[in-house]
Amino acid sequence: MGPFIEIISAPDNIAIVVMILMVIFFTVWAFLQAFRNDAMRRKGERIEGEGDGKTDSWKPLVRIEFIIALIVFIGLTFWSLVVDAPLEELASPTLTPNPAKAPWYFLGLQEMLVYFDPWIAGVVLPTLIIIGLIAIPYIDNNPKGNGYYTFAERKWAILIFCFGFLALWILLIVIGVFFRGPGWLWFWPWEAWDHHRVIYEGTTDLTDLVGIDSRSGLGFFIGGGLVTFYYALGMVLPYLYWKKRNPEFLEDLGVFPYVTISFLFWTMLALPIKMFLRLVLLVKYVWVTPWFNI
Amino acid sequence: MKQKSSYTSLLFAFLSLLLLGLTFWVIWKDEVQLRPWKSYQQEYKELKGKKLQEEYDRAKKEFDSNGNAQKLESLQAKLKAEEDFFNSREVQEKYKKLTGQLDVIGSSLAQNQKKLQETRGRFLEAEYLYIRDQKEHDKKVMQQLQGEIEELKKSRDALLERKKGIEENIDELTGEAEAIRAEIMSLHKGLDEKLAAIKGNKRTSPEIRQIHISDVGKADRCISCHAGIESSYKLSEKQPFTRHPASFIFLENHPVSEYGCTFCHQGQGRATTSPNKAHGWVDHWTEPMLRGSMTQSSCISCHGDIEGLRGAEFISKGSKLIKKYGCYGCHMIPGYEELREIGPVLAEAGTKVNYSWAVNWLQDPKTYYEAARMPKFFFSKGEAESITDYLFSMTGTTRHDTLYTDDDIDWDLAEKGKAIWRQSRCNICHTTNGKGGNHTEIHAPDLTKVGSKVTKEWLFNWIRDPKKYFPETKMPRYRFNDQELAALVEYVVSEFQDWDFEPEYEEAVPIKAESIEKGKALVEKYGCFGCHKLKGMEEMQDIAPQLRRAGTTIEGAVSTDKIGAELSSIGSKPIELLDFGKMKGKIPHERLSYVKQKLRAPRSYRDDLRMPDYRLNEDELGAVSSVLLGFTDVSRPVRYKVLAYREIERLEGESERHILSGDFEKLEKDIKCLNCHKIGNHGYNYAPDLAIAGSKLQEGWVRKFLKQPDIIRPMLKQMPRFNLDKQDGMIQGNLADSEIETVMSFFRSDLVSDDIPVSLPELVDNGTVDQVLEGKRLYDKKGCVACHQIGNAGGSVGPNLSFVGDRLTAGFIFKYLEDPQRYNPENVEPNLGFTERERVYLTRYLMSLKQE
Repeated sequence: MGPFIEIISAPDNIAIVVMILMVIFFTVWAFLQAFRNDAMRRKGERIEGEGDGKTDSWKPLVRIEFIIALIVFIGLTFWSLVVDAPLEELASPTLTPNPAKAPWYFLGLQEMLVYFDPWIAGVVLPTLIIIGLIAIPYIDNNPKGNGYYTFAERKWAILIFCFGFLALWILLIVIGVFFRGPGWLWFWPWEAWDHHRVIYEGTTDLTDLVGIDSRSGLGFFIGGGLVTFYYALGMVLPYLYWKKRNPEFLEDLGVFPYVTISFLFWTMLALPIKMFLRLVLLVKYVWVTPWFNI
Repeated sequence: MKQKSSYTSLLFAFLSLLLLGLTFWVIWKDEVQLRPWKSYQQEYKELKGKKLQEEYDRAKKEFDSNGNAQKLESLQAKLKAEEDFFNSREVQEKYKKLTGQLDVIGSSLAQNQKKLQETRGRFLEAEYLYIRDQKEHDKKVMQQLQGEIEELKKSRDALLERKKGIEENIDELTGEAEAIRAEIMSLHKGLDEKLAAIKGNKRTSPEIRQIHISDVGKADRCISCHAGIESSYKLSEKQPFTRHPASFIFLENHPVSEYGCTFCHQGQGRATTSPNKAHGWVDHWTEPMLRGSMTQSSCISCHGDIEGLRGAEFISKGSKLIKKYGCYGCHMIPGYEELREIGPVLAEAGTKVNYSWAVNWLQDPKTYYEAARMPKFFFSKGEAESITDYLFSMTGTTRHDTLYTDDDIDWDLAEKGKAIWRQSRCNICHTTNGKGGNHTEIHAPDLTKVGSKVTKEWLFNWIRDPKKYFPETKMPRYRFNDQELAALVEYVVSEFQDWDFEPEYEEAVPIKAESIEKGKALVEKYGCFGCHKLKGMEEMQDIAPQLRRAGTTIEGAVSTDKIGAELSSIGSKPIELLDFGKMKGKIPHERLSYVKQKLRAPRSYRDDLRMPDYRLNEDELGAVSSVLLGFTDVSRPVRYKVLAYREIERLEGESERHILSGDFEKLEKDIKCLNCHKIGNHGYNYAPDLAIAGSKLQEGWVRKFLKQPDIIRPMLKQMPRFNLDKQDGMIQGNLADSEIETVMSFFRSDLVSDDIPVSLPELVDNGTVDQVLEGKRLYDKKGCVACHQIGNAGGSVGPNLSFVGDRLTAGFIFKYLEDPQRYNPENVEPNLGFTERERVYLTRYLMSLKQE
């Protein structure tokens, strides 16, 4: 555990440790609140905050915000008094750091580079994340859960959010900080970071697995077909399902929001699917094109 | 709801107090904790104040005890009388009147001055216009203004005249008061200055003090804490208040204001927040502060020649060790490129040494000779045999040993040889049984057991003409005839035997071909050609690809044509590039420890390394490391550089012109005068420096000496004799007459100094003074006898002067007495500051000291 304690206590990593603790705390706390509220609702009791619609910002809100600002300010001041900025060796173009890591909040993106080509992982997916965040108010017009915690009423929304944020963002950051050592190789906490470690992992494109050159025309069409099929199936099957079970819901939503939600959802799920393909089946790319690779 | 509000109020109050506390902490940390130099300077100020006060008190006491008090009193009484007179009503009235007049004149003068300035200005304007336009009008204006100026000057002079008169009158009134005041002031001056110093010290307030040296990019704030580093008096033994040690060498020649501190000491000169940070003892600071003799490393960045540099004894020692062990044979080391391989030629090893000896020697040279220069390569017996097979195969086909028993020795001949051995002073360079080898920089082989090592035939041929076997050898050629050679060889072989020597191959055994191949591969791998000339491998060092094939270079070194790592900037090599290998965690992770460990146990980092073990002791390790760490890629501006002697020679275009020339050069090559003597920067310091021998020594004496070197020195300081065949092996002469002529003509032409006069200056005196006697009187009076011996009396620190009149020239003695350190800065003779007259007397006296 020696190396792990060393990594976890490095001045560089204080921010991430604090972040992990805070994320855990707030997640647990929010779920506890939600379960309590759900239980109250089942008993038919009124939930605090429900249906109020509005509350005063002065004083209740401003006071809390000010106190929080004070606490953060005190915390940061104390931190900067006690811990010096961790300087490293003189920068040298002949001797670059290994691993060369992005700022901690980008390590999730850096981890994605293992599974996608830079164009997808570095440009397309971050753009989609931002677009998705912008789109939330337009595609999620469900008023339930405003002003109070609940799980039962927003099961899907909460699960999808938790998966996207905790698993695909926070977890990837944690992996990038604590599990990726020299050469961006995977190191378990009990392993020392060995700068000379060599691992050979030959990866192949998906179509090559069945003997079709991924760079040939046939390979291109098969790969493209698979990707298109994935999205098409992802959109059509739930549509048919709801059409049968709950046509009002689809009607309320409208076609365009449905397509948008569906596209974003399946794109998000594509990440763990690709991770599985890459880590377990050693697949490099599914679809190779002259412009980008998926 | 009310309750909740008071709860948040409490929280708010608590947080506010916490923030207030933090604010005080921030202020304290910033003002006190991160500015340790403040308290250091305060402490130093107090120490200095105390010291200054003590000095003042002492001076005051002295002042009082010297009767100065009475003097002061009487002066003050006098002053009072003068002042009383001046203050009397009558005088005061006069004085006021006069000063009133003076004021009036003063204001008139000021008006006058103003007018003059204006008029001059207008004149210059008119002059400019006239020069430009050439108009008569302007010329007229000019003339008119010129007239006005003259008028003004006249009236000014008149005013000044009147002023002077009035001032004289005033002076009459004030009388001597001013003069007395001045006297009191001067009496007090010393004390006043000391008081001012105390006040000045009190006025200083803590501040960051910085020395900025722009051309080396240094900003050193070390003196912010080390306030007394340049101080002339000792205030405290405690750091950081000490003075710089040996500042007469270091600070005198490298003033802090021009060099700063980190120039030599390294460290993080800009850091002021803690001693550890300032000294660079923090992670990732690549140049931690150098302390003690390790600081000498830094000399190398500016000084070209470090051997003999004052204050650089440690690196000087290291440099000599690098030369002694020939590190440059395998490593590329700047400044040592032109030196020869240190080991003997191995081309004819098979005819020279015994097979069993060579195998033993290769395995561990120490068993043959404790202080052997050859390092230990950790060869197994099989490997050593293969290498020996390879060497022997160059001249023969068998493994063979030759052992001499008592029966093989002609004892009469050996007895003759013993005399030759002694007359030839072989022991000056060679050690035998722990004796001799006084000339420590030549590194001749130890001969204690040489009889069991080499064959008679080889030894005979070697002494007859060493250069034939080893062209670059330092061994002089003694001009022995064959009988003498045979006798000497017989003596050496009979006297210096290894009684434990067990030859395995008294009967020759054929060498196997595969063993030769194996031996050759070993020789190539371990780079024996770095030190020894080997047939077929002369160009080996220049065949870089082959060397790379032969083995890997050490830890990412730049590929050079040498077998070892390049060391030209080992002192700046990033610590990350040093491969600590198996020693990781066992020794400190820093450069000095790395280099020391490498020298201490060269193969401890990895198993496949090739560097041999030189068995250096800890002090030697440190010395060599200090030189190596001085090889950095730091480049200093030209103004700091002290070029090496050979670089100066090159710059002056003298590299072509050898220091020696003509017949003398041939003679020198033969008998190696410069093995012991020094001329300029060439040669060694074992025997007297010959740079100005032509001016210093009397020709007659030199001739006589060369013919028959006198016994004026202890045995092993005596000059050996090179010609022995005068009288059947009994030693008579040294050099042949023609050779003495060669030496003399070289002395006359090249080894003279224009400084040294040919004759003494003529003294103008009345002729009644006996100059020789006067000189003797001076000799006795100045206590020369304490160090020098004349006849039977005197000390032995300086040379014996009994017959100095036969040896030295008058001009040299005369010039030498003026400044004994002129020709040798290390000379211990004090400069007694003789006048020219005294020097002539002394010289005449010393020149009168002759043998007959």
